[in-house]
Amino acid sequence: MNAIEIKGLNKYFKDFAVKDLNLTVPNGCVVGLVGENGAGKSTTIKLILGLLHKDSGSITVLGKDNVKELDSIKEDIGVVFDECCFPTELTAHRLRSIFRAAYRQWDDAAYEGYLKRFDLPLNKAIGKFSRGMKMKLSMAVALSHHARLLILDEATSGLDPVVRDDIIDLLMDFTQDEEHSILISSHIVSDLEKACDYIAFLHKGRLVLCEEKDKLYEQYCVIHCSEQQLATIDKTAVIGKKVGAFGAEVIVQKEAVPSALPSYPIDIEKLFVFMVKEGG
Amino acid sequence: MKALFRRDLLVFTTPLFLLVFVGLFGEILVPIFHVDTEQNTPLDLVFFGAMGTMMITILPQSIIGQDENTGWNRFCLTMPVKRTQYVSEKYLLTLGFLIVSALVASGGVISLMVQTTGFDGKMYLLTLSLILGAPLFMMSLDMPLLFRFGMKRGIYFFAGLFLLLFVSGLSVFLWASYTDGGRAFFQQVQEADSLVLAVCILSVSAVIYAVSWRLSCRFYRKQEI
Repeated sequence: MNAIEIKGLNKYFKDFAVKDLNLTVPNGCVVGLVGENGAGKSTTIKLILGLLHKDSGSITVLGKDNVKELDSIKEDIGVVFDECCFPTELTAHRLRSIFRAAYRQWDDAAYEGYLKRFDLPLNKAIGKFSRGMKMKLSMAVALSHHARLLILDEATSGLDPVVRDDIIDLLMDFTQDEEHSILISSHIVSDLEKACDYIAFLHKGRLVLCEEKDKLYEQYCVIHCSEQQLATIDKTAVIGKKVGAFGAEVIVQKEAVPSALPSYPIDIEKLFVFMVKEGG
Repeated sequence: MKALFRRDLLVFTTPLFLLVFVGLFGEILVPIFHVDTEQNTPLDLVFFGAMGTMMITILPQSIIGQDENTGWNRFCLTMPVKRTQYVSEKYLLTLGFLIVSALVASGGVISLMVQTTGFDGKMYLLTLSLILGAPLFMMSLDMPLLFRFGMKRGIYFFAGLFLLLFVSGLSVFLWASYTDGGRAFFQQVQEADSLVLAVCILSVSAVIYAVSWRLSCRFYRKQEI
């Protein structure tokens, strides 16, 4: 069973649309949704969570339709948005009583464990927390009711590298259990590179690529060559290129690289930038 | 829904405490110390009582506004909470505080009755129904607009609708005052049994409240958050 399955999803706004989106989050996997600002990442997540109404297509979450049966699966989903939505007047201690009343499987011990792990004070008003502390608290809440699926929308944006690393570590721990899956959207590609099994690229509301991360490393490489050498490479194999005064930097399918040219491993961020900016 | 109640009660404990404090002053102490036992009747206290309970109708606006600003309205729908429950919680919470506020206000009514004509159960109920009915009507108008248009736009629509109703109501009242039929109607209302009037006011308020709740649920189900 897939944790999330999206087929032929369409959602139209006045000036933007998510078009014919097909995306799968396999069980036990971490899927990173990458895209520039306004690419449709948050819209996709809101559609999955039923906060926006789709125009057509189907979405199943943990095997159930996300509109008709979403209420029955909310127990198993943990969500972290880009902003901490908790009342700023409350403390982490008082917040617990709200979620204890909301989730049947709420685990006080787990919550306290996460607060301790993140070094978060129990009796300090959330409004006085730093952004990093707020996001850690959001993570603690999302994980303390034994969710099987985590959905994170830009949860690491605006955080310093140390906090981001803490959160990534937590996600890695979460996916130790093969029943646990994560859909995480971000435009900080390096975070996704660390944590994800699959990478999905969204660009202007369309899914341009969804591939296993390791396969991306296997399939693509970076080469530095002259314009004459570039002309000899099959154009369909070129994902993106940046031509400058001293030659070209090209992301290309490995099999299309002439043996005389040295190739270098790609990083996902470069692949993303080339795909979006340089237009393969 | 329990979680929603808990959250709103936790967040609004301080402002509600202040509101009750103001209500106690406005609804009990002011009429008691300004009572003119020769002229005042319990119905005069409707003004003071309704003023206090009217303040409670600001409550859903504050809560919904804060939910929108902090993103709680979006987040709570990712919890095991239905949209209908979200709407219902706001209605029940406001109703609860309206009833508490109306009962506080009715303390002033009782004290005035004791000082003037003696306690009259029917008159007490009529006064209570007016103190409760007026804000309930206001809240029933306000809430569907908040759920349909959001806090920022909803409040303008509400102000417009309120003005429209006020002007039309006043026009009908003035028109009726100058017609025989209208005067006869007012005469009948004045002579009617207080208990019957109280039941009528509460029944009409309850129907409007229920229709308002249904509309809000329908609007919010379609809302994109």
